[in-house]
Amino acid sequence: MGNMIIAIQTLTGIAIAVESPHLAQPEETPNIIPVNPLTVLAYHETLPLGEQMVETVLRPQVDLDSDIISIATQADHAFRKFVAQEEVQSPIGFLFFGYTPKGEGTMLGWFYADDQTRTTRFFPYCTSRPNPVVGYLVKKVYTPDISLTKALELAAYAMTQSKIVLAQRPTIEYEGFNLVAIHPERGFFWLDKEAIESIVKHNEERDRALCIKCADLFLNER
Amino acid sequence: MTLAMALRAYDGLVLATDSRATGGAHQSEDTSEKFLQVNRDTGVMTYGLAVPGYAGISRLVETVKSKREELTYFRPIAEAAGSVFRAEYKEWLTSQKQQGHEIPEELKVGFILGGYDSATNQFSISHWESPEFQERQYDGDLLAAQWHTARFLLNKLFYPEISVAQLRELAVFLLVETAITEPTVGGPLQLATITLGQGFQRLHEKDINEILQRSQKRFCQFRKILLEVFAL
Repeated sequence: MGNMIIAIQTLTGIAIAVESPHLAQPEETPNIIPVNPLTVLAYHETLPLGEQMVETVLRPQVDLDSDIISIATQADHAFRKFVAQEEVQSPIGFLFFGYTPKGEGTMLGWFYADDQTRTTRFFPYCTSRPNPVVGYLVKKVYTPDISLTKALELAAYAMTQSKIVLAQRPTIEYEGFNLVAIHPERGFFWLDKEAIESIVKHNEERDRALCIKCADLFLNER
Repeated sequence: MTLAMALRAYDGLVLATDSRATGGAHQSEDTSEKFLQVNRDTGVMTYGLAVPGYAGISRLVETVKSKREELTYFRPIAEAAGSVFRAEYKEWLTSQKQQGHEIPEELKVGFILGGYDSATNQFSISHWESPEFQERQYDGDLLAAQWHTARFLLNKLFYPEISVAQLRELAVFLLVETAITEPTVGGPLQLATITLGQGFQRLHEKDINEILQRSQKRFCQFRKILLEVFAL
């Protein structure tokens, strides 16, 4: 089923949680790569195929210094050609996150499965595969003025809760996840291990508070 | 799809589902009948493909009625149910093929049987799904089809001491909250309870509407709690 990716767009940046084999060790984390300061690429499903497509298609054939729309358009063309030539059977997906030169936050997904490709634009959130828990939490908690920090916390919470919900299904590939963000001016940055652990701990307290506050929700009022 | 659930309280079971139909001519209709009473202590529910689903639960009820002496208790009914559901599904699949309709593999039909098992003195939940129709028994609760959001909520809101009276309100809450983000879940809600004293009791539309009315405050309260904890 591939790794889970959750991205939430805010007025001050894009928050991204990426399910990964390692926690906050960018050089060892194969499924999200900075393309240029304002654009990142995350890939899911078949990871070796994703790496191959990045190295043999994206890097040599796409002008990675251009803006996200141009990169995604060029990548779409190159990826389509690659899957047709190589007769790719495995599902594969790429998610581009970044800012246009006009400062518009953009999240574009490119997916290939069952001999079909599609490119989709998302707002205000996207996931690498359908994930109702994320959709539900964003619907309930997201407000247009949510801060980038809160969006990172929400993405991390949604990741953890989704993993708990899916724990009995054989769809989880990795134990950990990384958090990254793209600021419209400062660009892409990783949260280090300590920062992620702090958010995870904060979310545990948040979850406990949620359970306590909900404890009497179903007591009948007489 | 839909959301179908069998939840376990300390004093009985709650069976609940929405009424949105899936597949063929029934797509996007909200009138699908997904529940039937099998006998005093047992109810059956279906989800997914509406036509073979209803055919399966109707045939099970007919079978149990025609073999009252053999099929009195939960376990013999559950043992008969698997082959009834499989036969109805195969018959429907054959008729679809004859009409030139290909049914994609991801379109499934599922069945949930819930009841009081006098042999073990316990409330029992069993589940079957196409294409295998292997019976799975559940000691806890069962959420089927569009289950993810409901599982997240159940993880936060369920407690083992909950009564059937409270649990049916929780079931309504789960269905309504799931329908917010799942377009395949919706329409009038269908609920039944199974208790030792009263057996299978289908809730009338009026009773469900009263629960929905009572729940309005709860929906707001829950949203408020979520916003509060995310403000921390």
